[in-house]
Amino acid sequence: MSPSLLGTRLDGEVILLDLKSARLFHLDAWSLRVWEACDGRDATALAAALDTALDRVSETLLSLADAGVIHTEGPGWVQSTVGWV
Amino acid sequence: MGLRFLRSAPLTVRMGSWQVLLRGPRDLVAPAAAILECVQLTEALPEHEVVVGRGGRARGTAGGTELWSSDLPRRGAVSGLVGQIVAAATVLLRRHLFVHGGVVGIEGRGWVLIGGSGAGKTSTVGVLVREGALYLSDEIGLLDSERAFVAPFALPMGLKPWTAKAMGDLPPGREIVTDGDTRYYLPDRRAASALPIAGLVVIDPTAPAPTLAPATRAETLMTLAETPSTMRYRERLEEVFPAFARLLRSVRCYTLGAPGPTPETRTGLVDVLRHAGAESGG
Repeated sequence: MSPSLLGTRLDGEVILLDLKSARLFHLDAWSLRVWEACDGRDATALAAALDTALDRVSETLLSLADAGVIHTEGPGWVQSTVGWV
Repeated sequence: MGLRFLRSAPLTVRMGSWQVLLRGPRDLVAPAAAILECVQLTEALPEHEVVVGRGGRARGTAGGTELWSSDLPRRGAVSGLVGQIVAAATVLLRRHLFVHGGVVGIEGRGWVLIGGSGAGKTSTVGVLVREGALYLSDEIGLLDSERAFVAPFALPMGLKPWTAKAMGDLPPGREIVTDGDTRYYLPDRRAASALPIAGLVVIDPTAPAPTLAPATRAETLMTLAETPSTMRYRERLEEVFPAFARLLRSVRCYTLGAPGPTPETRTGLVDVLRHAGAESGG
């Protein structure tokens, strides 16, 4: 099955395209750090790994989930599959 | 009967490798044809048939499929018809991407100018051409993402009174048609063929002119996504998004302050772009 997200890296920044909604997401440096850390850990573990307050991490996780670029698997957060171009 | 036949015969508009058959009131289709024939496409597109009824109802088809239908406005009907046909071209393009914007050529390289409505694209193009740049378009950037080239789409500039005021003196050229308060004006100095792209420039009406500042490719892609372009055709997004990303990797991106009402904001624009083009290796 082809991914519903396409992504491209431009000079270290990431733009993701949700093909279903036709929405583009520009991950700024902070969002990109959180998104790249989403390997199945929960918010508390991610906050510890990123050395950042839990509230800030949780807020970003919810924004990324709302954009459809991460989702939950069990207790943790994982990146949605991206087709890189 | 002979007169009836002449009335119903279509006007054939040849836009390079694209042919458009226009049927409708002569006082509407003839000026539209005069504007459209300034464009010389190199990409072969399916023939487009357009019929305008007495009430201003217009429809366009290609290969028997309806591409658009519209009630043309009473005032500005020519502009409305031209706009629909240009939009049809952007739907039919396959080899080129399009972006709504202005394009000029400086020292053999193309500059694509994008920005929101009212940002000053047309006045910027006019000022640049007056200062010596070649005119490619003030409406459509035809982009070849494989080669990072931009092709001419030399529709005459659509000059509203306030646009002409922002430009100051017009570049040498000729008026093709007037439609309501819009003058269709074709500059004399035009590019004959596609040019390698030197830069993608987002016109920023809030920035001082003539100030050119580097922009990130990611920011520019986000601006492109908000601009009418091939990315608007959702069924083609999967193919078009990688093409725009590839193109952006090949070019430099900038923001540029739009020329304002004072002469000092209109001078030196070409030099600013020429300098940036030289720095980028052109």
